[in-house]
Amino acid sequence: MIEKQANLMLIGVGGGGCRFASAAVRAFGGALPAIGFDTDALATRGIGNMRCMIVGAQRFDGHGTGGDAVKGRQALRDDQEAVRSALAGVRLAVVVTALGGGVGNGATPQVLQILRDLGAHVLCFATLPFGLEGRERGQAAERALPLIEEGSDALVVLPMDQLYAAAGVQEPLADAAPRAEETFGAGLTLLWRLILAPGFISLDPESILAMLTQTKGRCRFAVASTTGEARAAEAVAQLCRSPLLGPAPTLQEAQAVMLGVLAGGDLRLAELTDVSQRLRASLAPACELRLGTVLDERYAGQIQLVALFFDVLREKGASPAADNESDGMAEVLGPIPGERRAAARRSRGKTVARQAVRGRFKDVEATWLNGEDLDRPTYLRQGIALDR
Amino acid sequence: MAIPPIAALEIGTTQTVALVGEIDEARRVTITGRGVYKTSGVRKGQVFDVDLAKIGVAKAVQQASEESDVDVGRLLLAVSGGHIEAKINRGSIPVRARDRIVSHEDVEEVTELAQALVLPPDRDIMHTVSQSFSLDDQAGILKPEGLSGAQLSLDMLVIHALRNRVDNLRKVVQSVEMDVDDVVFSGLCVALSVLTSEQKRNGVAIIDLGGGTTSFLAYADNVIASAGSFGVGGDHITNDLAVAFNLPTGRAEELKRREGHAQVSAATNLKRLIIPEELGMQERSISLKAFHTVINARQAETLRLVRTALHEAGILPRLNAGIIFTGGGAALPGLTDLGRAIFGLPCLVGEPCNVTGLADVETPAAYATAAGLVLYGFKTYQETGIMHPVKEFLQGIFRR
Repeated sequence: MIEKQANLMLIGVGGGGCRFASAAVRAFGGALPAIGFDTDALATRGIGNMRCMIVGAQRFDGHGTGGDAVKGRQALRDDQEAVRSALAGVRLAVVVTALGGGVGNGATPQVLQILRDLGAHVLCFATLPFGLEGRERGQAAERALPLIEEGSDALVVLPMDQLYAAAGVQEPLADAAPRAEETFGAGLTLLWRLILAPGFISLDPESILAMLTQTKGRCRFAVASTTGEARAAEAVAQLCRSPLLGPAPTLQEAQAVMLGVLAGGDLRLAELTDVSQRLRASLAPACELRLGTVLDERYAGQIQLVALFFDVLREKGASPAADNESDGMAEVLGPIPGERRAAARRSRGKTVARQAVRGRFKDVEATWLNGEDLDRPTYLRQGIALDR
Repeated sequence: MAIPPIAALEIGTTQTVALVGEIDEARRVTITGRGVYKTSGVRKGQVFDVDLAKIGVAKAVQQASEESDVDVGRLLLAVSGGHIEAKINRGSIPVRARDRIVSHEDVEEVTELAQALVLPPDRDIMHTVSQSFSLDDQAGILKPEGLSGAQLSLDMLVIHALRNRVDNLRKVVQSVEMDVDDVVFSGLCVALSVLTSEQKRNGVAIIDLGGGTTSFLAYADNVIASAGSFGVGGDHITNDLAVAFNLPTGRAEELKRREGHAQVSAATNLKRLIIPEELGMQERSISLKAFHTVINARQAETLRLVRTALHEAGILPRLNAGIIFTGGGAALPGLTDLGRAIFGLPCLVGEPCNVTGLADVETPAAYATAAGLVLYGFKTYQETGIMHPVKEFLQGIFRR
């Protein structure tokens, strides 16, 4: 299992992100490769179950950034080589960040950039601050989102208000935070288990990566947990009305769904079929549903569901993989980190070379930026297929 | 003494704009003459044919001159292009006085030092903008004089350009027997004409979408904190469309103006654009969705270039007043929505609000650079009194 985990990494960014990642490690109950990045040594002191790297220590002396995204970014940049070393070899990263603060807003895009340079695929979970934290903090979080969305293969945005509502939090505030972290951690852990310990139906890293390369931008995340006779029906109902899904878009608008089912050895095939059929009934007929199961005796009597709802898929042929003339999947999932984007770049080079595309700029000095000739049409360089 | 009229010229990639502005006793600047003519011989802000480019200059200046009734002999020139870069340069000196109190001379010395950025021999400094002083480990000081400390530092934003590109633009003006008083970065001009003092205080970025270039300038904490220019503009959208759909450039431009949109909407899924029979090609139709996809890809990429520059400069989180678009490219429908999605900030199309006399023009955003250049001229004249903007005579003499 360790070997199988070698290319997977859970990454927490900022105080909130580290706490959520730690909760997932706790819920997982075993060795889960995880790392956190923060500037505040005090905030991460209580996290003992994963490695937390203090970034920007020379500049900030182990203190927080005071909510300043510029400082968060500087901190990560100060130590980016150390961060790069810590993330070397990662192929699929799940990044958890709490937006609104300095490190979450400022350092997350930098971490995503490093992962991108390393050729890793990224599923990012970003929480938005509570409404009561004020408009300014909410706006700061919203501003960071476009950079994070573009740096991720798929992004799940979770407003804290919705996360607490989903956790059914009624407790005093002191107990509410751990409860919400626990709910989130349990869902995240289930995703991990699906990859590492597949049951009756497998959802391996390749399937998840393939799904991520098809998606574009944001997706939604929901969890459900039930027991009892009608547990299958209740779990699907709970999942579909999860506050995490937000009011819009509706489930009918989802283009693809990845569903994980965690249960004990008492899970019956009829129940699994029931879960699948009931969820499919809530989705559009064309929606693709991928199912994976994890069977674990510790969950006997229960059914836990975790689902990622993808609302926008790339058009057929529009992904970088589709540019390649060889087997797209093999190109996407090349064994060496960095291969995917390198392959896509090579492919783009070939495509562009085949066509005289500089048009009216053929006689003037080219505009080069980061190794790309910007005079060549963007849609060609980015491998966007056009609907003729 | 009355301030004489000021003439300003922008040799854009698509059009050449000449404006003449006058200032009244209440210090209001009014555009009294304007001339616009199609540009030839310029690509991406760079002159490649002086003879072609001078036609546009001569025509535009003639129109502005006739409309304002001012004989234009000298003018200010706006410059943009991918060769323009900006860099923060830090100057640092020990405070000289024994009591360690910063003197006026210290401030002057550190300012000179911060301005003296060493550049490659083919580049010239266009503008220098003071950021803030630091005294020992205390940063963000605006007026250090009288304060105590051992080491005084100043961060200076230095905007510089390739000398030959600027000289080539000057040559175009000189070829129609006019003199250039000063050359000014177009981003600075746009900011002068469009931004309010409140926007500058709150932090704002202005993005000028020209035909061949995209220039930007950002204010943070009331100071110009970042600036730059890319050799990518509206012509690239046109070229992308021409390549994608095998269209003549003129047709691609016309369709872009008529049917262009910065975002791809599901509503366009089944709609098609009719391309009339032309240059031996039969009448045909193309997908409107594909048409918008090409535009969206280019426009989004261009905005992301600016976003990356602002992000690298650490300014993005400080732009509380959002993003303002100007230039001919600002007329593209859906641009502000695309901008909001890319920057995560409020976006709007700006107009030259700090001058009057442009109320009746169809796309005021396209005049923002030249209008700002006129304002720059008056500002410089008022501050130094040494500008000779149009002619070195009293107004009564050079009036026709």
